[in-house]
Amino acid sequence: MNETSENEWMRIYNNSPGFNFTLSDSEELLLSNNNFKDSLGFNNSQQVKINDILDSGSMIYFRVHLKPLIELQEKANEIFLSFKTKEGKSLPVVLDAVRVCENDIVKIHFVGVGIPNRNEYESEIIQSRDKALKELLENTESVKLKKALNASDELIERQLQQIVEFKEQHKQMAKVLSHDLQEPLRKIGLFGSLMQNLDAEVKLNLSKILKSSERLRNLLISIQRLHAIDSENFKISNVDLNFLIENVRKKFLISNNQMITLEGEFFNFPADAIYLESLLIELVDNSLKFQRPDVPLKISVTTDYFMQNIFSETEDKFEYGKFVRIVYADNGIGFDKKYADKVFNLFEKLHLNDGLGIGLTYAKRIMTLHKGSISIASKRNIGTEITLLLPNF
Amino acid sequence: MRMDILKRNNVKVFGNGTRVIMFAHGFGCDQNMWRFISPAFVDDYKIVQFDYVGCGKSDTSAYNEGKYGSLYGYAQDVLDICDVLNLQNVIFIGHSVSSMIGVLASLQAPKVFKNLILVSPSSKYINDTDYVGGFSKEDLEGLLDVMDNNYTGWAKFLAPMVMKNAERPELTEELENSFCAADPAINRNFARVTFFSDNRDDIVRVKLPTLILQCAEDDIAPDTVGEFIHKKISGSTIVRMKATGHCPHMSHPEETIAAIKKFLAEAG
Repeated sequence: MNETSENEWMRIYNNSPGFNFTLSDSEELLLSNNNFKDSLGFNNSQQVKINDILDSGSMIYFRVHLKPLIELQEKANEIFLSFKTKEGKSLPVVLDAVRVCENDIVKIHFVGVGIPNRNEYESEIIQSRDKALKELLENTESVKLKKALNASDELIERQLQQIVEFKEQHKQMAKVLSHDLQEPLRKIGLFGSLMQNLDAEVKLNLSKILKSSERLRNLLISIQRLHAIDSENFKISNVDLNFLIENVRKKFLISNNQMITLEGEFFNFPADAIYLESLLIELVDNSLKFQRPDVPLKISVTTDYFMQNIFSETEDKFEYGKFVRIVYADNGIGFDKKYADKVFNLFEKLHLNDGLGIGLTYAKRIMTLHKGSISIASKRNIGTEITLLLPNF
Repeated sequence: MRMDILKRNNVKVFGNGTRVIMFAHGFGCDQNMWRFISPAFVDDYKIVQFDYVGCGKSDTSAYNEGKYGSLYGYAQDVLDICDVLNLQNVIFIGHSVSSMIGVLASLQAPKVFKNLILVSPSSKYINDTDYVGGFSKEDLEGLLDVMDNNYTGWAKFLAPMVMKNAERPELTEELENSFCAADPAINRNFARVTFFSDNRDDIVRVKLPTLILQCAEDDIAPDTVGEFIHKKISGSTIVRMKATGHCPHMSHPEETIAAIKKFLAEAG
């Protein structure tokens, strides 16, 4: 092979077909061949950076994808970019790139060919593909929906039948709770208290029987209350949490406003005011019962909101909706973490003396009615934190 | 469940510390992009890295258009990872779109996170009344076109998505530029979700100590956007870097590491 002078190399480079160019690390155009300059309409005297010659979509692509790719792999092949010509048209180009480091100076060499014709065909293919895909997906989707709809219809029918049955049971149970079970208890109490003139031992046992029947009566009343929570008297309106908290303060004769504080992003949202207030009453009642003896009770209520999937039970279904979050925290005696799941169970009591163990069951029932949720976290001798989530969509 | 999530997002946990740093990659790449940064933190932190579904070595079969049709789906995955690994007080470092994914995750579960570090963030890419995002809608449609033209692993690209079973796995490997984008179709959806999202109402509600790393001459997330975010997140810190471009963690790792370390030292 003959010696080729540097000038000769330069001439070959400059006159070569296709596009040759080199970028510095800071994306200035260091070198390019004539065809590239001519097509894009600039000359040697101009300082050109890559963002001067790429169209905007390609510029974003270069920035978020191609540059990181070249930095990580030190090369990239068969990359499509679209340049701006001097006539203001797009020039589609396929490029290979290699990143080299000579004497600590980074350069990226590109070589490419223009593909205006091929690109047009490709665009047409892509469009047809998109159209075909869209139709295919719509078809698949509608077949899927139809199946799902049939399944739902059957499910709804079954559930409707169950609801009718539950309603009947519910009604009967309400009667049993309010009358049938109360009446014998009332009689036990009545006749028991008539038997006063008995000897000491019998009297003692009798008082125990009376105490048990009193407790049974209280349990019954609370079950009746729990039972009475149902959708028929459930009414959603825009509530004001400030107002509800004020009512709760009054109910417990709390004159110190600092005992219960309310902070947050907003205080007006849709809920059932009466149920939400009685839920708060249950929570405050618990906090008052389970204070630490040497620490003045403090309750903080904070609100915010966030977005999450509204389908919690249906798999693979997604729709994002807004949820209001109310975090209720006290500084009471708290309880051990391992009980956190149990506290919502009916008559589950962690502390022996106070209460019937119904407050949180009641709270949970109310949240379920709101299609919301309740969760609890507690630390012994630090306090308890209860989080309510209410859908707001 | 646990294994599913760790596999789904190709989660990697390493490092010798107890305090947790979670690195979240931006659009168009995968967790590899943190490789110049994470070594500086391995001694003092537990490091969690992952790939979003559809990127890197994630499980693309977990992709669901409904779920990932919004950044909330990606935020949920971040929270899932924190949940299965039982992470708390997480220092979340997110690049580009991950900044906003981190913001959304922190609004959903504020207690999981300690700090947010937003690298080249944007609260909205498209210009709006009284807001300069840097792009017109047409610019971004242009990006989607360029992406379409770039996934000329034609056979795979042309195969309808619904025919996934018929896919030839070896084609994936042929896609030479796929280190970032395991699946072109998913990546295109991700681009749409990323560049057409608007998180201006979300950033105002961030309450965590937050650092914003703003590059010079970043035409993806320009100065005005960084300033906007800084103004909207009360108490946030902004560092205007010497680094140019959109990926300071790749192009200027030393400066990026120094800025993060300084912030973490001051945040305590």
